[in-house]
Amino acid sequence: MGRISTFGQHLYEGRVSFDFVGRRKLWYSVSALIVVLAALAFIVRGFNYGVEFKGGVEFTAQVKVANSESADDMIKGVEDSGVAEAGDPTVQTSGENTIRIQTRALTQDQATKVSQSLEKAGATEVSQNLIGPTYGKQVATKALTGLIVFLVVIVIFIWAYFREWRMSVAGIVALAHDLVITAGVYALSGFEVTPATVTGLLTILGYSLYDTVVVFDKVRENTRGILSSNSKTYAEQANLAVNQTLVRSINTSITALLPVAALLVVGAGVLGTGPLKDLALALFVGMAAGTYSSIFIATPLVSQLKEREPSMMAQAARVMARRSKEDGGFTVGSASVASRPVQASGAAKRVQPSRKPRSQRGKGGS
Amino acid sequence: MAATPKRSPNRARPGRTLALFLAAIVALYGLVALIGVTADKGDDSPWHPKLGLDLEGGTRITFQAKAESGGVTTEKLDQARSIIDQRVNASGVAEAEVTTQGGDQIIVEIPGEKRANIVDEVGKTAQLRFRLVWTGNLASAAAPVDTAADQKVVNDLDWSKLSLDQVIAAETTGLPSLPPEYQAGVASLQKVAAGFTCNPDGLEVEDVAAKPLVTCDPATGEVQILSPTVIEGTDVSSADAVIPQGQVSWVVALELKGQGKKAFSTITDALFNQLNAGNDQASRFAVVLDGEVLTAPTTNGHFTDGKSQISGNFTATTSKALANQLKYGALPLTFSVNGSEEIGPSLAGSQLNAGLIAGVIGLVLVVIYCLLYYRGLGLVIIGSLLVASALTYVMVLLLGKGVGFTLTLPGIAGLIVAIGITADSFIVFFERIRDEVRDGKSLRLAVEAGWVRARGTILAADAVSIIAALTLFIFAIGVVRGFAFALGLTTLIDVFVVFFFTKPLVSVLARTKFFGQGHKLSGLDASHLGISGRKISEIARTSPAGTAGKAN
Repeated sequence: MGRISTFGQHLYEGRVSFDFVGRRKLWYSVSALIVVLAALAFIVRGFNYGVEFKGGVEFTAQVKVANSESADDMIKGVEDSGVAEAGDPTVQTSGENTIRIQTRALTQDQATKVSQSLEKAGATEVSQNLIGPTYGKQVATKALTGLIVFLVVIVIFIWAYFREWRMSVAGIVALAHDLVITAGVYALSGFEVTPATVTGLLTILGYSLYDTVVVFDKVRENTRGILSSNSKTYAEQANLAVNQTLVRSINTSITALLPVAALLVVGAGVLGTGPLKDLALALFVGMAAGTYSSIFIATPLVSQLKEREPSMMAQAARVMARRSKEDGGFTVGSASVASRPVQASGAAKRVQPSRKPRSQRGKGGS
Repeated sequence: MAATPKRSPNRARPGRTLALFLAAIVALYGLVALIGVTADKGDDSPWHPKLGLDLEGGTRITFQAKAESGGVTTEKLDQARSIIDQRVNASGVAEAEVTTQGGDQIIVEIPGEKRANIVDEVGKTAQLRFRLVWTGNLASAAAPVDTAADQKVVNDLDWSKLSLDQVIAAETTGLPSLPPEYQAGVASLQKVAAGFTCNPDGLEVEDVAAKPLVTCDPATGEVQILSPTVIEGTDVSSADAVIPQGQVSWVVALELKGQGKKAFSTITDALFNQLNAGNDQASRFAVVLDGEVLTAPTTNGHFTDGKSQISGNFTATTSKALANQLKYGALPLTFSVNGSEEIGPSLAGSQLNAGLIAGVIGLVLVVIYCLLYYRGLGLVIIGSLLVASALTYVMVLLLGKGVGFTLTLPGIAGLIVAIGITADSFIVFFERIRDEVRDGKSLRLAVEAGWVRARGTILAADAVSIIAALTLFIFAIGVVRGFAFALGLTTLIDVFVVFFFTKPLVSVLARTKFFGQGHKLSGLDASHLGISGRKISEIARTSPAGTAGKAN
């Protein structure tokens, strides 16, 4: 653990620096590839919609031991109920002593009949969930409305807080990236899409942006008053910000993912099926993607958008000019940032005591 | 905890903030205890959170309301809710909770029982009808008699062929005045009435508009044979509880419109004559809601303009209740079943256990990680998480009592997910402190400087989280809202804990020798931070950049 701290110190001072901003083409390509794969998975496999979206009845029967034998008993129980509409049910075991039976839409009376018949066939307790045909559509409509309202509110919030529309754009792009990846993984996993999944997806909206806001806050701090400084470009300062918050990002991801992982394992292992598992998978993938995208997508994108500003281009040119004068032909390119010598310690210089004479030092950042 | 800090030159007194905050939490627990003392014995213990159906077992039915005209208004929905509430209670279910949701849904929750079979009975459209009292003042049978065969005779007849005049004549001049083909039906009606028991806990009658009805007034127990419907409840244009000028008792002012107005004029003309002739019983008509007689007044006037007053021994409350029933009794709302759930107790129990287990595992994992990484500071995180948990628990208890917040499985998931978000605030803060220490500040200064920087970040990030929770809460359906609520609640608690507990605690600790001087286990020692004394700049000068993770 001490090593991570030391690592943190190096990151903070810029001695160890990962080039997140400069190599953006690489990260963009990696993300594009993942997003395309996720979209493909989504298109090819599609979502496995739960009974909540399809409409129908789901019976959850508690049995002594859930195996193929007791599952057959349950199928027989459904047949014996004499309800023709319940024919050809989907039956699966879930956990150690639970069997789930899904049928098409039934009336309440029919559902009660099937329920009683299942109890006769050996189930110790039967729970049922009857879903009307409009329920799933309502959930989807509401979720979509929520999504749109949230995006509008959050774009305004980020813009108001950072006074920078580019950060809003980058935040939303990162968010879309996370959502597509989560949807793709979800499609691949074959887990059922239930209202809990939708909740998970909507929660990712919040989490992904939460993470991005923390990184952006550091970017803003590092780039404050950058136009009047000739020592660093926006891209370099943004990259320093990502590196400085990297340890925090790693720690946060771990502490956020640990409880969600517990939910996922317990939800899938103990309960077998149900809202815990659906929610946890969406959250797990989304949170991991959220951390990735705030580092590899959001910040490089902000930087890229910002560099296009004429004033930033002029500032970058001044920095270049000054560097080539001082160091004898130093070019700022994507690769050079990573291999540049210690001098690049950035904002950290602010108050850091150093025994170097001023003349040998870069005029510290802000 | 550290010794009480001396009066610091700074205006901030972290020790006092800390004490006040902890006292506030204790006060909240005191409030719960107070509720426990003052509560009736029958109430649930205030120390247990109110559990949702998915954790306790029971039945949940969701009705979707549709308006035939004019849209679903809050007023209509509330009235429908109270009607459904009455029906659920009438069906013999105790402790059911009927609530509205999302502006057009009504949720019936019955804890502990599997009763989805009441759905048809409860969800049928409310029917308010005016009928004539063909025969009144019958006694309720001591024991129910099976009159299904007679009921069938009644049902098989086509009563809609009777004219309004014939229906009125049956009351004013007696049932034998009906055409001969109906006499078998009349005999059967009388048999049904003779075997009818007036059970206030749920009448089992089938209220069909075009057929006569045998039913009773549950308040008085009077059994009546009623005519086919003469006025539909939809013809009621207004009904208000008033005290007429110059009088002292409450009446219900009723106004009819359309067909009802015309029919009412014809009916009251005939019935008022009966009253004048001293034949009180033959001047009664009945207002029937869902097959139950609300009131069966005598007619003491000929009302041609549709306006009339129903008087009786009304109080302010009972007259208002009747007025509301008349006004909304025939709500133009129809209900479809959106879904119904029956959750057995053992499934609910295993869901509750799974949620708790996941929560404990998640918390323990986070605690272990924080201790390993932040060492002494990890204890601060653990303390903060414990305080946050204590605060969350007491809030769940109080909100359960106050606004009926129930803990559901998604709610527990929300609380678990929030562990990570809460811990993140501490991490942001600590990383900032360490950054400041790396910049060469003393710990005491680093804490204050780091806090100023971390504060903004924490607030901004938590604001995003709260916006997300609010959006989810507003736009989510059903139990999913429990998740959003839990998430929003814990995010708010996180802000309080960071501001009033973690920060003051760290300020206090920074004055101790253990943390202030960077003890090996404090998480703030030089080597742990990667600084070996002040040699750092030299090392920096000689080591090539890009050697990631090379420890000193």
